[in-house]
Amino acid sequence: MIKKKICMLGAFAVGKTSLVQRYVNSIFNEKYQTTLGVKIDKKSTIVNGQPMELIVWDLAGEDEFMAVRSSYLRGSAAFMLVVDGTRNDTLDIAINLKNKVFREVGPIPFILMINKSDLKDDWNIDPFILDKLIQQDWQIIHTSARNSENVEAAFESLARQLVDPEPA
Amino acid sequence: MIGNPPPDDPSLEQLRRLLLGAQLEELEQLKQKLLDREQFSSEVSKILPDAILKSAKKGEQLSQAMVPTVEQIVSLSIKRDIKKFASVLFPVIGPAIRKSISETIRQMLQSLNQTLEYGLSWRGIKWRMESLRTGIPFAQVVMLHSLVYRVEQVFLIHRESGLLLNHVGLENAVNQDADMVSSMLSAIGDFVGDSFQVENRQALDAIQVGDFSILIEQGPEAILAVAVRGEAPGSLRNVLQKVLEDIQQEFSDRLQHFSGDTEVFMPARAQLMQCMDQAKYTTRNKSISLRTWLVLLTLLILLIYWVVSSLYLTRQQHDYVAQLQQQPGYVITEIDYADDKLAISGLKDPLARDPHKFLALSTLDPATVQLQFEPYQSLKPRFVAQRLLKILNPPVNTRLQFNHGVATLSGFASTDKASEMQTMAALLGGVTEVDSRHLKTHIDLSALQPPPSVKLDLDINNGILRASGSALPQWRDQARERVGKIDGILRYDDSLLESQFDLTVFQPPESVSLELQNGTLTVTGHASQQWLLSLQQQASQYPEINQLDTSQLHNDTQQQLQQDIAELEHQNIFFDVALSFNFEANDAFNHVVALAQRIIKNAQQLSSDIQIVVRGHSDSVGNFADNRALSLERADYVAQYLFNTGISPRFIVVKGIESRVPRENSAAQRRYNRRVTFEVIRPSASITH
Ligand SMILES: Nc1nc2c(ncn2[C@@H]2O[C@H](COP(=O)(O)OP(=O)(O)OP(=O)(O)O)[C@@H](O)[C@H]2O)c(=O)[nH]1
Ligand SMILES: [Mg+2]
Repeated sequence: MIKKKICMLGAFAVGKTSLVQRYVNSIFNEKYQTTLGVKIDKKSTIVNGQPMELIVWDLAGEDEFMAVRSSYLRGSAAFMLVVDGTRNDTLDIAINLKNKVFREVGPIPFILMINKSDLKDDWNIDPFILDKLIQQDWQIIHTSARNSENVEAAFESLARQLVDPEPA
Repeated sequence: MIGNPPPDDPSLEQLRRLLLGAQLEELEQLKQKLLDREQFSSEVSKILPDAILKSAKKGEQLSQAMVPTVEQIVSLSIKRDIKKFASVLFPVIGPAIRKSISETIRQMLQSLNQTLEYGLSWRGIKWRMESLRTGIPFAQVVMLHSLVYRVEQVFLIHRESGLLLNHVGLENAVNQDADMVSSMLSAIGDFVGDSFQVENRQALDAIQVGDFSILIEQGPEAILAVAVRGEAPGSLRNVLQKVLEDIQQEFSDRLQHFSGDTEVFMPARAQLMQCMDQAKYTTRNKSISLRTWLVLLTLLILLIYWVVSSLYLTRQQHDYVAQLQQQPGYVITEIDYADDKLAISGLKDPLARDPHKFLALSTLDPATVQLQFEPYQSLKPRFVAQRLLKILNPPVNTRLQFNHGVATLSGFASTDKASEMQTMAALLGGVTEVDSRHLKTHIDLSALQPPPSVKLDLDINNGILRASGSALPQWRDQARERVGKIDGILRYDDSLLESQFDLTVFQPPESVSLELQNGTLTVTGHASQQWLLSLQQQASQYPEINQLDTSQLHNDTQQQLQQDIAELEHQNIFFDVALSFNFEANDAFNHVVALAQRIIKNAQQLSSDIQIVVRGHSDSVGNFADNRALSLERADYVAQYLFNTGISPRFIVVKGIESRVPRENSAAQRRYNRRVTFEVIRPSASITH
């Protein structure tokens, strides 16, 4: 059995917990309950015909008062960067977090999830920055924990990279 | 430091010789040794035992490496000569089997012992309540309480990623996904380490909640965490350290290159199990206690008693119900056997036997039986007959039969009773016909011929005939005899019949009538003295007769006597002047004799003392003396003649009398004075002349 630790990273209230709940338990809750410390979930899946267990560490969102603990990042095989499409500042935080992980753990696979795609009308992401990220080969997926758009696809895509890792 | 130069470079060869010189020679020798099989094996054999010993000391690596070879050797040996192998194993295998069996038995007894101990003690009951309350199986509750400590789960965790590498646990102790637990544990470890800045990541080595604790042993690449219930002893930590060291050593490569494939850590299970084996329980006596035996015995006795008594009880109940069902006049509609109670309900004819009476006969406790019967009328012939009997209440003299719906009345009854019975019987349910042809309302008593003094009373219903009044014993006896032959009389009672005295025993002459009343026998009419005497004599012998009243009886003898005396005293026997006299031819004299004889006889009968005075008379012609003598002579003469006829002289007194009176004035008067007269006297009385 292959087990992989992946982390959910992003600013607070961007929908990390909601995405994990959608992926693992297929549920969604309007109510916001901020995560303290870390919450761990597990999802069994099959990637390229191979069974795999994803141990998902849902970390508390980064804000001005609290930085993500670097110790939680150790041993991660990959991570999700989550951005709230309606809050442009969360993209900046995501970029900082990505740099932090690469510093602490190394260049491991990641996907940038721009969440709350159901609220696309209210999206407020600087397209210029996005363009730059695409040029840097970032994998970016628009998701919605609410209507489950692309949630599973995003996680499966990340998992696929763990089975068949691209050369660093 | 030796590179890989091209082999054919002469300058390099030269350089080597310069650098190594003589050592090159030694190297050559060494090479020779290695290549020469013989030499090399002899060299290795010198160090092999040492090497094995050292290796064994270091750990299990060598053993594990050798396992396949040894297994192969053994299986080869068995294949080649199984007998040899068997003879080697023989001394071991026997004791092993024995030990295994005795161990199994010991464990069974011990678990029974424990079960009883926990099952029956106060503590055991408390735990059972707890099990009920919390829903945790009882066995587990017992375990938890009697536990000193027990390792329930062992986690082998990849230190860096917190991923679970292997895990063992008691089946019922695991209730969280081990993977998540593992990650959480490492997260907590990280959290503590970060938050309190403990040195050298030696962060967390124990988490304790109540009597539950997690011991964490940190290795360079792996973490060993054990979940312990109870008070873990210090020695457990040593075990953990040892196990973790072993794992670290054995799996060091795999740990270092771990990339999520946990498969490779499967063999670590053996080491983890070593931790699992750590447990200690409080067990009391290992042997089966006396208390346990007693409890077992008591339970057994109670069980037997319960089974037997409940079997007995149900048997009794069924018997009772069957008895009721067989009884006529019962319709049982519902039977309810509940525990030891029995409830029966249905219908019951009021004439049916009392159900409580059978109940008293059975050994069932009446308090446990509930009976509820509504009344109904059974049309079974038996009950119709009973009801007929009850309602008609036929008198003893009437016979009632009931057959196929026909009520037959026979025998005797009063007219009233007979018609009442006929009407009632016809009205009763189940009676189709009333036959009273043979029921008589009259009994013919004429055969008894009762005298008028007897009154007969007949109670036809009861067949009693009573006779009262009075009757002669003869009639009484005869009636008693005849009454037995009269149909319908069951009892004859003549206790009130007075017995009449049979007066004929006195043989009364027809002129006499006798009457006995209140002890006084009254004699009326007339009878002879002789009969009267015999009556007096006999009457005194009968106690029924107290008194004899003869005041109204005329005595024939007395009368005759007086008559005869009167007549005799009027008789005159006349004489001529002389004395001569022809008596035989004299009717008057014969008449006197007959009278005299009868007077004497009757007087004797009446026992009255009499004497007949024969008086001679003479006329006044002549002298007085002569006349006197003559009159005496004449009296003697007659007396003599009376004697001759058989009359005793003691009844005769002779007297002569000169007849001066009455004075004779004529011849006829004188002739009249020449006579003899008679007088009857009673010597006791004074006789006046
Ligand atoms: N409309 C919409 N709302 C979302 C979506 N995902 C999350 N939310 C809402 O956003 C709020 C925050 O979601 P969380 O999943 O708790 O966010 P989080 O990133 O875990 O927050 P922290 O744990 O505090 O860092 C909740 O009220 C969610 O219901 C989405 O896709 N669309
Ligand atoms: Mg959250």
